[in-house]
Amino acid sequence: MNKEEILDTLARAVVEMNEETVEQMALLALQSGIGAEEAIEKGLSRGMEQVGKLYDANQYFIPEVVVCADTMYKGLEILRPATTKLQNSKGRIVIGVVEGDTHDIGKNIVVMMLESAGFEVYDLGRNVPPADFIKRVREVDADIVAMSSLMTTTMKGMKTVIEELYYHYQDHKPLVMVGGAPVSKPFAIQIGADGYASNAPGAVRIAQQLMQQRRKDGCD
Amino acid sequence: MRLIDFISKRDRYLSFPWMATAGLQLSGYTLYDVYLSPQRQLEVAQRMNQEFNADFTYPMDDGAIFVETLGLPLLKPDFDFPSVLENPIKTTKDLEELQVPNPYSDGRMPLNLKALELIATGIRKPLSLSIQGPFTLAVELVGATDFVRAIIRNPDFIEKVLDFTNQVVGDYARATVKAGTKFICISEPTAVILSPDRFEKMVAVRLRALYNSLGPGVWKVLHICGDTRFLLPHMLECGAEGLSLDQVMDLSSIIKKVPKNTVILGNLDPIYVLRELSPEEVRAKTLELLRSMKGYSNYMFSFGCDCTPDTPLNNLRAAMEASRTRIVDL
Repeated sequence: MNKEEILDTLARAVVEMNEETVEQMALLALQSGIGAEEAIEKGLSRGMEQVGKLYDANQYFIPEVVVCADTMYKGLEILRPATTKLQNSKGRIVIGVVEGDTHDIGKNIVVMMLESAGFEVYDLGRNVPPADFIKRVREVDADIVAMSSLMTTTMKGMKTVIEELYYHYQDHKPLVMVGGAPVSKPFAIQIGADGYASNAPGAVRIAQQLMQQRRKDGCD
Repeated sequence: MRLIDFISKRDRYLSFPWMATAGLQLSGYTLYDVYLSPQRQLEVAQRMNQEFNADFTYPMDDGAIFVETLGLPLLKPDFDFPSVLENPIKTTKDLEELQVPNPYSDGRMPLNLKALELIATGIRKPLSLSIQGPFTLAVELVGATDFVRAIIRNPDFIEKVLDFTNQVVGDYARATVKAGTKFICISEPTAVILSPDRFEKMVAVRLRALYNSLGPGVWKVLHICGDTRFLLPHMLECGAEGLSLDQVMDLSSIIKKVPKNTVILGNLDPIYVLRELSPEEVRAKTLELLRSMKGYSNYMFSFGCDCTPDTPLNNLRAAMEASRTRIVDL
């Protein structure tokens, strides 16, 4: 197989949820002298981009997205140790489900999609108190804070985190994106969030836009 | 009498509001003060009836009754609903260690049944009840991410979990009917993650059997949160007489597409209207919704989902008062 065929097969295997092929192609890529970084970007990540498109088109649903992401991780396990330089992170994101809420499937899918798109993601899990967001932001010098809530009763906790970020960082705070079933764009604007996404592929697009904004603002 | 016969041919739209937690504001009780005392359940239901005069009576919402009885660890805020902290059922062996609870002896179930009896006999209005559906309970047991993985990687396990949860929910639902429940709303918020094909195989098939087992004298409703347009044809075929729809749905276009004998409930926004606006604005939004339903006798006023425990009581009063406007005056 030539280079293009290997990368195409890698991407297709992610879409088709074929872990065995992903592992074989990841190994073959390394044996064939394809850089691990290139195999990740043009194979695995490209596959996940296609998964996002299928999800947007209502051809794939959440079960497929999760299993495709699992398949991608199988390839990453082989390729990541072989990266010869530090991967060029697309941005550092601290993410979690707000305090009082334990529903994390949406957040988990967003984590998978963000990682597949090259972001460095720090996942705080679910039921995360505001202080934990602030602490982690400081530790990793985060570019973006991403929060989700699946309950109408806990979504106001996002506002508390944003207020805390303003308190600690004023105008230099990380950018904030929010999502979750009951969350809407007007709500995101109302609480002072910088971005809102209604689904995981959308979250990746918003994170990319926020990073552009951050670079433009000279915060990189 | 079918639900459609009960609500139609009236001079106003009937209302089924999801606001039992407002009873905590009225009474000062914590959620578990109420859950653990059938007498307090009755007291709160009576206060709610006096304050808001809805067309149905109801106990405190109790979405955690199954997971709590099955022993899952819960986060239990005093004035908000419990949430599952761990999802321990990962294998068939884990599942086999669980027993289907007996509604008459296990956990708080007998207290709930007693509360239903007291409310059904103490307040002369149809008793309504909202319970978690078998699919959503199954997702709680396994954990959402592991559950969706297993849908593809281990479908036999998922079938077993669903058979189990169907038994749990069914046994309890049938006991609540015996205790006096007249209107039962099964909530399957998690089902919105499924494709229409999987919804049919995993949710609708079991709901049909479950609703059927409740007998003809009970009004059966299904609630699913979120944008369910792509599931609507299957929701219409799952044995429910009424569909309760989320605030993101455009009810005026949906109601044109459903059969006239299917009741559509909804969908005043519990967050951006009920919690955030002024009473006057809530009243205007309620009337706007009712006007958009004019001409449809299969409509019932409701909220898009449960309202939050901190929803201003004056907003709830405004919504309920406006909901009693006669159709000719809209």
